[in-house]
Parts: sequence; C-alpha cells; structure tokens
Amino acid sequence: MANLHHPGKRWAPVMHLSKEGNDLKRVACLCVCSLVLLIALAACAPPLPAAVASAPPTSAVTAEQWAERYPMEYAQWAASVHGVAYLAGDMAAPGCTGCHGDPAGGETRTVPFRLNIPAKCGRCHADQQVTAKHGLPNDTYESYLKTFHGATVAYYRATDPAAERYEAVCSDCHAAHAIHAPSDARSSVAPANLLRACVKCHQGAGPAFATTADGHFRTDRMASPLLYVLELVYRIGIPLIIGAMLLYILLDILHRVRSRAGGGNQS
Amino acid sequence: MSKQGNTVVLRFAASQRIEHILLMVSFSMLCLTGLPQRYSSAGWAHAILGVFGGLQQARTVHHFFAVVLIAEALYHAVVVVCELILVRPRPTAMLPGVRDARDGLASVAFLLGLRTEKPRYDRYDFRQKVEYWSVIWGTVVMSITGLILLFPVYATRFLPGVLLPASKIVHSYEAVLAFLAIVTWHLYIAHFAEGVLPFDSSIFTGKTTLERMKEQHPLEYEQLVAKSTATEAGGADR
Ligand code: HEC
Ligand code: HEC
Ligand code: HEC
Ligand code: HEC
Ligand code: HEM
Repeated sequence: MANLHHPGKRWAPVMHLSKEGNDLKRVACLCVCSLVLLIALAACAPPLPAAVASAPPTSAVTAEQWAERYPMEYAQWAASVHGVAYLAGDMAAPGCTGCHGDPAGGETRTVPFRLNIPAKCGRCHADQQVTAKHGLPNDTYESYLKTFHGATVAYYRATDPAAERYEAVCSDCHAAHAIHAPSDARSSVAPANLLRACVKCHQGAGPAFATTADGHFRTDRMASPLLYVLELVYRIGIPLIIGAMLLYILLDILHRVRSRAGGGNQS
Repeated sequence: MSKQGNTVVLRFAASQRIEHILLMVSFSMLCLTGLPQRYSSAGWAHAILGVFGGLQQARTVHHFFAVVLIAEALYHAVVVVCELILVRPRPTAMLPGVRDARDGLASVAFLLGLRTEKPRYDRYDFRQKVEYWSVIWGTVVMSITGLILLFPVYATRFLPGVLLPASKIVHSYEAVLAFLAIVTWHLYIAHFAEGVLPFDSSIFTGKTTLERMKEQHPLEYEQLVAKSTATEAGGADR
C-alpha cells in the first residue's frame, strides 16, 4: 500500500476492494434508518402538562386568625409587597392561602410543594392582567424558566414531581414571605443582599457571581446590550451559514440531475 | 489502467482514524445530551433525556463526553504542532489559502454551468477545509464556554459575571450551528458528494483507490505519481 505519510516508500502490492465496502454501506444505512426512527419517535412524544399551578383552595380563616397562628410569617408578609397590597384591598395580591393551603397540613414541607413554587408564583406573575395592572414585567416567570435553576426545576416538576432538587426556586432568592421589590433595600435580591442569597447554596461565590443574572435570564436590548447583540449575531449568522451550505448542495443536485438528463458522461 | 485504478492507497493513518471515531462518538453524544437541555420544555427533549435516565444523568454524560472531546482536541493540537515542526516537507495540506477561495468560486461557476471544467483539488478540497476549520472553531468555542458553565463559581473569580450568561448564549447557539452544519455539510461531503454517494469509507478503513484519488484529488495524485516514478528511477526523495 502506498503510504502517504512516508512518501519515500514504494507502492505496496495491488489490493482490491472487497465486500467490506458493501458492509460499510449497510452499516451506514442502518445508522441513518435508526436516526430517522429515533427522531420520529421523539416527535411523537406527548406534550407537557400546563406550565403554571392552579390557585390553592380558598379558606374561611381571616387575616386576624392567621396573624394569631403564625405571627412571624404574618409579620413578614404584612410588611411585604404582597401583604401591603392585600391589606389595602388589592385582591390580585396573595393572602395567606395565595401560595399554599393551611400550613398546618404540612403541605409546605413536602417535596412536590417545593418543585411547584415557581408555578405558584407564575400563576400571577405570568398573568397578563395582573402584571399589566401593577406595572410589572410579564416575563418574570418565563425568564426564570430560561435559567439553569428554572429549566431544571420545570423538568423535574413535569417528569418526576417527587424528585428532591436543590436548584433555586423563587422563594430561595426572594424569601417566601418577606418579599419586596428588588429596588427595596429590604429585599433579599437587592443588589447589596443578592450575593448572600447565592452563597446559601454556592459556597465560595464572589461578588461577580451574583451578577450572572441566573434569577431571570433576559436578553432584550434593555436588559443587556451585550447578550442582545450576541443573540442577534447567531440568529442572523446561523441561517446565513446553513443557507449558504444548502444552496451549494442544491446547486450540486441540480447540476447532477441536469448532466444525467443530458446524457452527459461527466462523472 | 483499470488495474491501477483499483489500487488501494492509504489515505488516513490508524491514529487519524481513531481520532475520527473519538470525535464522532463524543460529538454525537454531546449533541444528544446537550440539545435536549436547550429545548428542555419540549416533548421530544423529554423523550431523549429519559433514555439517559433524566436530566441530571444526561448532564453527567454530557460532561463525560466533553472531557473526551477536549482531550481529543488537545491531542490533535499537539500532533499537528509536532508535525509542523518535525516533518519535512511540512504537512500543510489542510491550511487554507487564497487557492481555496478561488476553488470555491470556480466550483460554484462549474455547478452553474459557467465553466466547463471542475476545479482541480489537492489532498483536501475547499469543502473539506471548510468542514475541518468549522470543527476547530466550534470545538474551541464550545470548550471554553462549556468550561465556564461547568465551573461558574471559579470562573467568576477572574471574569465579570456577564460572561456566564454570554457563555450560555454562545454555547447554546453554537451547538445548534454545529449540529446543523454537520447534518448538512458533513452529510454532503461524506455521503452525498459526487463520487462518494452513499458513503466515503476512507476515514474508517484508511483506504482509498487511485482512481478515486485521481478523480477527487488530482493534484495530490499527480504529485504521488511524480514522486513514485522518481523513486522507482532511483531518484532522490524530492
Ligand atoms: C408569596 C407566596 C406566599 C404567601 C403569600 C404566603 N406564604 Fe407561607 N410559605 C410560602 C412558601 C413558598 C413556603 C415554603 C418555603 C419556606 O418555608 O420558606 C411557605 C411556608 C409557610 C410556613 C412554614 C410551614 C412550615 O412547615 O414550616 C408557614 C407557617 C406559612 N408559610 C404561613 C403563611 C402565612 C400565615 C401567610 C399569610 C400571612 C403566608 N404563609 C403567606 C409562600 C407564601
Ligand atoms: C395571587 C397572585 C400572586 C402570587 C401567587 C405571587 N405574587 Fe408576587 N405580586 C403580586 C402582585 C399583584 C404584585 C404587585 C404588588 C404591588 O406592587 O402592589 C406582586 C409583586 C411582587 C414582587 C415585587 C415586584 C416589583 O418589582 O415591585 C415580587 C418580587 C414578587 N411579587 C415575588 C413573588 C414571588 C417570589 C412569589 C411566589 C413565592 C409571588 N410573588 C407570588 C401577585 C402575586
Ligand atoms: C437553593 C439553592 C440555590 C440558590 C439560592 C442559588 N442557586 Fe444557583 N444553583 C443551585 C444548584 C443546585 C445548581 C446546580 C449545580 C450543579 O448541578 O452543579 C445551581 C447552578 C447555578 C449555576 C450554573 C448554571 C450553568 O449553566 O451551569 C449558576 C450560574 C447559578 N446557579 C447562579 C446562581 C446565582 C447567581 C444565585 C444567586 C442569585 C444562585 N445561583 C442561587 C442552587 C442554588
Ligand atoms: C436565583 C435567584 C432568583 C430566583 C430563583 C428568582 N428570582 Fe426573581 N429576581 C431575582 C433578582 C436578582 C431580581 C432583580 C434583578 C433581575 O431582574 O434580575 C429579581 C426580580 C424579580 C421581580 C421583579 C420584576 C422582574 O421581573 O424583574 C419579580 C416579580 C420576581 N423576581 C419574581 C420571581 C419569581 C416569581 C420567581 C420564580 C418563578 C423568581 N423571581 C425567581 C432573583 C431571583
Ligand atoms: C467541549 C466541551 C463541552 C463542555 C465542557 C460542555 C459543557 C456544558 C455545560 C456545563 C452545560 C450546562 C449544563 C450542564 O451543566 O450540564 C452545557 C450545556 C449544553 N451543551 Fe455543552 N459542553 C461541551 C460541548 C458541547 C457540544 C459539542 C455540544 C453540541 C454540539 C453541546 C451542546 C450543549 C447544549 C445545547 C447545552 C444546553 C445549553 C442551554 O441551556 O441552552 N455542548 N454544556
């Protein structure tokens, strides 16, 4: 065999292609067929369950009674955006059973409850009517689902609700009851407090880590010009590059069809 | 001529064939475990992740083959650099040049019927170089962004925080680009191009025929013939 890596050597004895070539073709065929089958099977997979949770059952317990039973949670909630709005008569804000049922039932300590928290907050924070009326962004829930935390939690909520996961849910960053606007210094996600929220789980994280936007992943021009441009480059670049490749292949196909039709003996 | 036409020549050394298999397996597995993460809310993605036992397990597999791919890439880099330094004449066949741009244009002109002759290629034609350099670029980009995503706490000790979401975007879109480029371009040059349909087996067997070489890489063929006649005539190596 002529060896191109040692060009000085003579050509080796003549060898003829054996059946081997056909075996390889068969293997290639098999691979392509199984790939097609896999894609077809995957495409038939059932769609996912609804994205947000339904409202918990309403309760006849009054605010005063809740305050008596759970003074700490009540105090935190009463001072939070939710509590202030609710106590002022805003029925769009969650009361004590806006996020869970009666805590005495132990529901809030179960594993499925944790995986369900984002969907519970999303019930209102992805609701166009609620957010528009309060001047809040509507992509709060969606942008959480795009983060590593959110995608993981959503996956396990859909496939294995009993899975014990430690990726951050809304209340890990925002707290469950002492929730304030991020611009409020009392908020656990205010810039000055944010790192403390991350370090609970990410030991050794430095200040730069807290600025990685892994609470809400946003790529619009306002949120981050750099991410916006990066995404734009790929959104334009990918169709251009793949389009150019497909165009070349199309030209080749057309050329081959034409030369065959013309009876040309070109190849 | 017909006898010589079927003469088998070595196109790829065993080490190169092993490299190709490593790259093929690791890249396929990375696509299979990475892309469903990108579309993790889609039904088809759940089906694929389920095959691995779930998202967590698919991530572990992703990280394993990432190590394989990075190791293979480093090995390749070392070999190429050593060969460029040690081997004479320098194995520069894969380096892109003005010639490739010209070949590309000539090839399009030929396919459009504006030219009657196909461009004559050397050991690697411009289409193969496009593929090779895309893979180099893609692997470098995927490795750097992937490592940043893998060690976010460590990376942000030195780098600004915004590099993490930036890496996520680049890793995620570059993966789509790489996957689509392989599905279109690689399928084309290795399975569909003129003369190779349905399958160019040389990267697995290492062998090609003289006839094929003459057809697809005429310049390389001519050099080989010139060299071998020189050797047969007892001439020097060049
Ligand atoms: C914005 C959503 C939200 C609202 C409104 C809310 N909670 Fe909670 N609550 C949570 C979440 C999430 C948890 C579980 C996580 C945790 O314990 O930090 C929780 C847990 C609790 C627990 C702890 C139970 C246990 O087993 O430790 C108590 C008690 C509680 N809530 C009481 C209340 C009371 C009383 C109110 C009304 C004043 C209220 N919650 C309003 C979200 C909410
Ligand atoms: C029942 C609907 C409802 C639920 C459930 C709910 N919220 Fe809210 N949330 C509101 C409304 C309404 C406001 C606006 C209050 C206002 O500004 O008057 C708000 C405001 C906020 C704000 C302040 C936003 C800003 O920039 O001013 C944060 C943060 C917040 N919610 C987080 C959460 C989290 C975290 C959860 C889940 C643990 C949650 N919410 C569950 C209705 C809800
Ligand atoms: C309740 C715990 C918890 C909190 C709080 C938390 N995280 Fe995480 N985070 C996780 C877990 C668990 C993972 C997955 C780690 C793994 O699999 O190695 C993760 C992963 C990440 C990743 C890796 C993403 C990737 O693409 O590889 C980033 C970035 C991140 N978190 C950022 C943050 C930031 C920023 C904060 C604070 C604002 C934060 N996290 C708060 C639990 C948490
Ligand atoms: C890893 C930490 C983290 C998690 C998890 C998280 N957030 Fe946030 N959230 C933040 C930070 C930081 C901000 C302020 C800056 C920003 O927008 O990124 C914020 C801002 C907000 C705001 C203000 C308006 C807006 O959209 O920017 C609301 C409302 C909110 N979060 C609700 C939620 C809800 C609901 C969830 C769960 C579905 C959630 N957050 C999960 C960290 C987190
Ligand atoms: C070369 C080394 C690579 C490394 C170190 C790497 C590492 C990672 C890491 C750390 C993640 C984040 C999720 C996780 O922790 O598992 C990820 C996600 C991903 N990887 Fe890779 N990867 C590599 C190569 C590739 C390749 C070759 C592809 C496919 C062509 C790919 C496709 C993806 C995709 C699509 C995601 C999901 C991104 C998203 O969330 O949008 N990766 N990878």
